[in-house]
Amino acid sequence: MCFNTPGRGIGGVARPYWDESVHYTFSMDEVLALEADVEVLHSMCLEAVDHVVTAGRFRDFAIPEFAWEAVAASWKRSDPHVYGRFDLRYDGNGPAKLLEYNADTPTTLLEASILQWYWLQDTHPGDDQWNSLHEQLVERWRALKNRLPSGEVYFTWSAGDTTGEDHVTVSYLQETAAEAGFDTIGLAIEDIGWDVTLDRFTDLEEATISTVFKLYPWEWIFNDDFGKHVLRNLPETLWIEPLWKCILSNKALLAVLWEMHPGHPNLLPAFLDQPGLLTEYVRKPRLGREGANISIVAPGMEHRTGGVYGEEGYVYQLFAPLPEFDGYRPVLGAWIVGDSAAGLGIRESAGLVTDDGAAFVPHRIPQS
Amino acid sequence: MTEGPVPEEPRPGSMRFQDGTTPPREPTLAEQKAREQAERRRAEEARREAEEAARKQRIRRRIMNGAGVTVGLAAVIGIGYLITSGDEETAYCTDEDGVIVDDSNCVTPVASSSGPSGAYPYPIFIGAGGRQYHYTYGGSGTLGERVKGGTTTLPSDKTKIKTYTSGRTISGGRSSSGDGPSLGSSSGSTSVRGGLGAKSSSGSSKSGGSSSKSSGS
Repeated sequence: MCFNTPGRGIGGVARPYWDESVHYTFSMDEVLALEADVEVLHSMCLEAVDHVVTAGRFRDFAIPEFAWEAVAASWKRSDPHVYGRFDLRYDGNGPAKLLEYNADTPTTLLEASILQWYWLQDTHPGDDQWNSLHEQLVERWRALKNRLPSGEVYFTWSAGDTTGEDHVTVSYLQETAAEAGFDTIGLAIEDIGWDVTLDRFTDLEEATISTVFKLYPWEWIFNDDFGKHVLRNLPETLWIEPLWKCILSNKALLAVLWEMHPGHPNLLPAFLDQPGLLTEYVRKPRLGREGANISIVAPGMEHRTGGVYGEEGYVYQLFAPLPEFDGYRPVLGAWIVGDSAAGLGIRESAGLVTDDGAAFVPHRIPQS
Repeated sequence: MTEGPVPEEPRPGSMRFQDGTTPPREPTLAEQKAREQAERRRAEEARREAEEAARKQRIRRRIMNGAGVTVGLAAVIGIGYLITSGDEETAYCTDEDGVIVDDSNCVTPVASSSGPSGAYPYPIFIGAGGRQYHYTYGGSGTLGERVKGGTTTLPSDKTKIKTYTSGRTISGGRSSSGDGPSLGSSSGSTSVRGGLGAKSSSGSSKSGGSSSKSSGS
């Protein structure tokens, strides 16, 4: 698997994106503990959405005012969700800490679900892996069979992503939905039409679209020409991941979680717009991707990545450096499908920030 | 022994794809009626829409049946990106002497011509003053200069073709590139497209910068 963005190794040398020259091992007990952590984090996140909606704290998340009502309605309707990925700091000792939650548009799914599973079969056939992603995705779609407006689901990605990463991720999800019995249609999000006369979304055959899976961030939809149609047309045209996830995919979530659960073992202290009492912190844009626009402030070091994000403001999180193994620093991407933990994918980077130069490294649970 | 009810086999789902070559389906009667009603109310708007030029496209639909769907298609798509990336050719609009002129002289996207590539003579556009223009693929040169090398044979579907002076993608890229939202079509549809996703007309993707980044994270 290569998305035209090969990994970067120590000293900036090229590194394959899929790197099986190394792998991580976990004990079953560790995985069980991590699984429990992920499910606790998931339920805390749902609580946080409820709090934000009830208290009307949309401004803290830089959600445009015209979307507030629709976001709240989407949560109150329980618009169905499918999957998400928690990025965790874990050094083998003590509880995993939430670095951020990719709730809206997570990728690296195929690698975690399929590639590393076949790696395990080929190299350590007797061992296990924290990986029930495929089965759980199919199961999740099956569970949604009666909750979606029709048996037809459109799967869309942006043709603006020329690396193919989004298209591959979406097509994999499309396969899991088809396996669950949905009739699925793949098309680029740019090809979705708006029927101005009949006030509805249409596909290229001019048929009405009633359910869309999108690998395209909500905050971009807000600013797109059809953004207001999308909001106004809910739930006649239902979008997955649902609109309420724009609260979870926003780094302001980290501060709200800390506010609601100060001192929780799976959280790092985090604050909105100012570092509070933190003297060593990471400043993250509310809406940032792939490690862009991150600043690290700590005694004796100043680290900053470039990028195009940050106009919506920043969140300050305690600086907890990623553990280092042989010069590389792993982030655990723990998957949630529906409401249960479903698997793990590890990305390693040479630097402190996991960005688009990170490499995917498989893992296994040795037979005891 | 009594036999229990036979458990119903779950109906398998299906996978199919739509792209720029997908033709619109015929509207149902109810849709036609609803549209007529709405359009009567907006007669003014409708007239403008009706004036939009028609566009017919080649029919090619890929249908996959869900039965026995195994993971693999996603990988195939990934490989497709690997194969196609980097394959890019420039199309020069040239006059009958092979001198490179502005793209506006070669109006029609060449890729929409039917028939297998290269099997028919290259399309010729008659410009002002009766001059004839056509595209030359590959080669090199600058505006006003005679094109060096290149061919008039349309490259394969896999190749991305960019026009020289306007930088439009006329083949290989997605249908939505270049022209912006397109209004209407011959079959009475009123769908506007291009209101979601990347604005590719200027060549810069939504995600910013010169390199295209994933929407995912």
